[in-house]
Amino acid sequence: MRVTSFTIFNQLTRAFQRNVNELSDLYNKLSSGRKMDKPSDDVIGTARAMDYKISINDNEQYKRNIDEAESHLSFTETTLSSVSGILTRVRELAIEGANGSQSADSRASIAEEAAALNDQLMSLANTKFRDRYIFSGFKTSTEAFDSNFIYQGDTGLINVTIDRNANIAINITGDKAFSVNGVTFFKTLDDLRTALENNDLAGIQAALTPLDDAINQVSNIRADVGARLSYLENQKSRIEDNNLNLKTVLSNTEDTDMAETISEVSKTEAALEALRQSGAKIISQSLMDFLG
Amino acid sequence: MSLFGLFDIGKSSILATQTALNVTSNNIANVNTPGFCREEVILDIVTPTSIGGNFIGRGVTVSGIKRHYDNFITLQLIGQNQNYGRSTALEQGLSQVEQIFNEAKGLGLSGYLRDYFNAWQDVATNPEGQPQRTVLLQKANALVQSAKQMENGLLDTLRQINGNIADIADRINSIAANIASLNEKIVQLEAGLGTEKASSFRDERDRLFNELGELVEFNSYEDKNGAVTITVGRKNLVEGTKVNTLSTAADIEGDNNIFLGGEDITSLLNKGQIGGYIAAREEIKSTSLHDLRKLVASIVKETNLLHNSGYGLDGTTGNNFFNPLGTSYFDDFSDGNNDGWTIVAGTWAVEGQEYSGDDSGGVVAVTTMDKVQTTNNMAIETDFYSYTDLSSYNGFIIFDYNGPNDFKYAGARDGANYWTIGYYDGSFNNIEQYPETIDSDKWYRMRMTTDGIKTTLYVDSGDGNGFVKKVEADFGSIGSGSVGLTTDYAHAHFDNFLVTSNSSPLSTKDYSSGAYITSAEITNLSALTLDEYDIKFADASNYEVYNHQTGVLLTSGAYSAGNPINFDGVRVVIDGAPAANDSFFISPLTDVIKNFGVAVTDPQKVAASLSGTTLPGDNTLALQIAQLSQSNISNLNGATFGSYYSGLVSTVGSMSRAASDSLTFDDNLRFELEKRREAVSGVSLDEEAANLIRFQRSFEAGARIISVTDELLQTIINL
Repeated sequence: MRVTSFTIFNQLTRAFQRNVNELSDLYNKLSSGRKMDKPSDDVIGTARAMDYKISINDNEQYKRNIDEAESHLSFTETTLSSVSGILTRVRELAIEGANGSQSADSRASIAEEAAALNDQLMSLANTKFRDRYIFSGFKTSTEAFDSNFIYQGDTGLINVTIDRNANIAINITGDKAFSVNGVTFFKTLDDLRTALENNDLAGIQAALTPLDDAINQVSNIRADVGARLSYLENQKSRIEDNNLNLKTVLSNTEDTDMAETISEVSKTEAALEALRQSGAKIISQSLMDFLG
Repeated sequence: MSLFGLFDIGKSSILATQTALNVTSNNIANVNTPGFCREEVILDIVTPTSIGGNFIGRGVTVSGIKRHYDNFITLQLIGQNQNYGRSTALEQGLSQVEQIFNEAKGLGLSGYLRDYFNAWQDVATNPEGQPQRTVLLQKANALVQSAKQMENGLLDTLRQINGNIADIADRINSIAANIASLNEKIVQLEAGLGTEKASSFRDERDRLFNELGELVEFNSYEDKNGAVTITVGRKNLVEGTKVNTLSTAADIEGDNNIFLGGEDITSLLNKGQIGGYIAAREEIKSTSLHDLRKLVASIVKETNLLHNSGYGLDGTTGNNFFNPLGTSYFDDFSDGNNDGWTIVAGTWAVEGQEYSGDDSGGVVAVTTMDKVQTTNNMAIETDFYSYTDLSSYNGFIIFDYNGPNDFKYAGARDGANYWTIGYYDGSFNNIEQYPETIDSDKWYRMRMTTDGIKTTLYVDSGDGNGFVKKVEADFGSIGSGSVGLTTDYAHAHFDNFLVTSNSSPLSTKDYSSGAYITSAEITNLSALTLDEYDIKFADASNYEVYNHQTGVLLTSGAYSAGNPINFDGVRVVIDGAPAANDSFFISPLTDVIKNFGVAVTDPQKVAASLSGTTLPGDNTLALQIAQLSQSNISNLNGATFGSYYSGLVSTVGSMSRAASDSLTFDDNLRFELEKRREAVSGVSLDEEAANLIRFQRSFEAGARIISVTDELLQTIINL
C-alpha cells in the first residue's frame, strides 16, 4: 500500500492522542484516588458500589437506632433497679413489722418509711427520659400513674428498627412494670402502710405475698430488659463487623490501586517518550531534504 | 524528416515536462488539502511519421491528466462517515446524561433518597421530637430539589439536542446549496469534454459529500452529465442545480422533527449526527427521564398512601406528605366514617358508605372539608342522591366557604326544578340557573369547575350522555375558602367526593382530529400503576387502551361521547367525534417532577402515629414509612426504590459506555478507510520529490536536444 505524508502524520497524531488520553486517565485516577470517574467507566462496579453504600448507610442508621434504644433501655434498667431496691426494702419493713415484738408506735414509724418509699416508687414510675415519660406507652407526654395509682398510659410499644426487618421495643409499659396480677405496687405498698398504721398484724402478713410477686415481676422485667440490651450489644458488634467488611469491599471496588496505577503511569510515559523521539525523526525526514 | 524536426521533438519534450512539473508542483502544494486527489500526467508518443517506409516518433505529448480516485473507497468512506456522525452525536448526548447520574462523583439521587428515609427512621425513634420532624421536612425538600435538578438537566440536554438538530438542518441546507452550485460548474466545465475533467470541483464535491455524510444519512447518484442527485429520507435534497431545503418543526412533545418536500422524514433518519441525536433523544425520553419520573411518582404515591392514613402530633389526619399525584382529595366514605369533615350545621352522618346531610331541623345543613381549599383552577365532583323522605330533595357543592353565612354553591334545587350556581349569605342567592326537572330518588353526578372567575356546573344524569353543561356563572373573583356540601330542608346523600386541581391532572397529548379530552384524572391512588397509556381508536366507535411502554392491550370498549373510560385508577373523558387511527396519550408521569414538592409545612402535621387520639409516642406509621425503603414496590417491578435507582444508573452508564465504544470503533474504521483513500489519492512528498528530479532531468534533456540540434545546424551552415 502507498503510504503518504498525510497518513504518516495522521497516524502519529492519533498515537499521541491515545497515549496522552491514557496518561490523563491515569493521572486522574491517581489524583482523585478513584478508579471510576463516571458510571460508564465500570458499570458493574458503579452498581455494586451503590449497593454497598446503601448497605453501609443502612447499617449506620441501624447503629444510631441501636444507640438510641440502648440509652432508653439502660435508663429503664437503672430505674427498675431502683424499683427493685425499694421493693426489697419494703419487704424487709414488712417482715420487721410482722415481728410480734413490735409495738404499735414502732409499726407507725415503719409505716412512715413505707409511705416515703411509696412516694419514691411513684416518682420512679413517672420518670422522664429526655422529656418522655418512659412507662406510659405511646402516651409519652402523660404521667404513667396518677395519685390514685391508676395507670394513665397505654400498652403501646415504641419499636425501633435495628436491622432489615428486625424491630425492638425500647420501652416497658407501666402496667407491666408496676403491677402484677392486676394490683399495682403502689396499692400493695399503701395496703401495707395502712396495716402498719392500724397495727393490723394479719394485714401486714397478707402484704407479703403480693410484695414477693412484685419483686418477682420486676426481676422478670429486668431480665427482659437485660436480654434486650445484650441483644442490642450483639447486634451492634455484628453491624460494626459487617460495615467494616462492606467498607473494605467498597474500597476495593472504588479506590485506585496506587502501586498498579503508578507503574502504569511510568509505562505509558516511557511509551510516550519513545513516540516523541521516533515521531520527530519520521516527520522531519523527506526526500525534499536531499534536493538542491 | 528534416533536421528542423528535431527542434519540434525537443520542444515537445520541454512542453510536456513543463506540464508534468506543473502537476507535480500542484500535488506538492496540495499535500495537506483535505479531499485533494493526486494527479498524474499521462505522456504519449506524438503520432509517428513515415520516413522512407519507417515510422519514427515525433516527440512527446500530454494525452491527459489522471486523477487518482477510487469510487468504491469514496463511497465506503461516506457511508462510514454517516456511522461516525451518528456515534459522535449519540455519545455526546448520552455522556451528558451520564454526568447527571454520576453517582461516582456523588451526583444523583441516591444520597438524598437515603437521607429522606433515614430522617423517617429518626422520627420513628423520636416520634414526639420537633427537631427530627424539622430535619425530615428539610431532607424531603432536598430530595425534591435534587430530583428537580436532575429532570432539568435531562430536559436541558433534550433542548440542546433539539437545538442541535435545527442547527444541523441549517448546515445541511448550506452544504446542499454548495453541492448544487458545484453540480452546475462541473456540468458546464465537462460539457463535451467527457467526465472527470473538472477534477478540483469534483474533489470539492467529494469533500462536501463526506461532510454531509457526517451530518445525515443520504443516497446519491451521478447522471451522465456529471450532476449528482442527493436523496435524504427518500426525498430529493439536491436535484442537479435545484435544492429542496430541509426544515424542522417542533411536534406536540416539543421535539424538533425534520421535514423535506413537505413530508416528515424523521423516522427514516438513522445515521449521521441527526440520526444520532434522534436516537439519543429517544433513549433519554424512554429510559432516563421516564424511569426517574416513575421513581419519583412511586415515592410520592407510597409515602402519601401511608401518610394519609396517619395522624400528626396536632391530631390531624388525611394530610398528603408530598404534593398529590393529580388527585387533590377523594373520599368514597367506604371506611364508614367522615374523618376530616367539619360539621357546621344540621345532622351529617355516614349511612352505609354514603355521606348524608339532614336538615330536618330547618337549619341549612352544611359540612366542610377544611383541608381542601378553593383554587383558581379546580374541579369538585360528587354523586348526589335526591332522597325524598323529607319535603325537599336538593343538594349542593360548596366552595370558597368562609363562614356559615358566606359561601358559594353549585347544585340541584328540586322545588323549582333547576340547576343553579350562586352565593349564600343567610339565604340562597342564585346567580344563574337552568330549569330542568330534577327527578326524586335518583343518583346524579355533579361536577363543578372554576377558573377563578367563571364557574360551571356539569351534570351526569346517568342517561349515557356523560357530563352535560348546565349552568355557567361569573363571580368576578373567587377566594380560597374550603370546600364542602350542603342541603336545604332535605335529606341528601352524597358519595365519591372528588376534588382535582387542574394544575396537576394527568397530562394528555391529543393525536386526533375530531375528538378531544375533556378530563383525565386519577380517581384511585392505590390502584394507580404509574404506567403511561395510549387510547387508540380503531374506528369511530371503538376505543382501545394500551400500555404505552409495553404495548399490551389493557381494555377496550364502545365509544360514547362524554362517557368516562376507567382503567388502573384513572378516568379519562373523551368527547367529540373521533376518526379511525385517532389516539390520545395519557401519562401520570409527565408532570410528576414538575409538581413534586413537600405538601407538609408544619412539622406537627408529619404523621408518625396510626391512632386517632393524640399519642405522641406512637411511631407505628413513621416506622412503616421508613421501612418503605426496604420494601419491594410493585409499581417498580418489585424493586426497592434504591435498587430501581441503581438499576437506572447502570442503564445510563451502559448506554453511555456502548455509545463511546461504538464511537471508538467507528472512528478507527473511518481512519482505516481514510488510509486506504490516501493510499490511492494522497500525496507522498517523497514520490513527488522523485518526480520533480525526474522531470527536471527530462526538461534539461529536452533543452539539450534543442541545443544539440542547433549545433548540428551550425555544422551544416558552416559547410
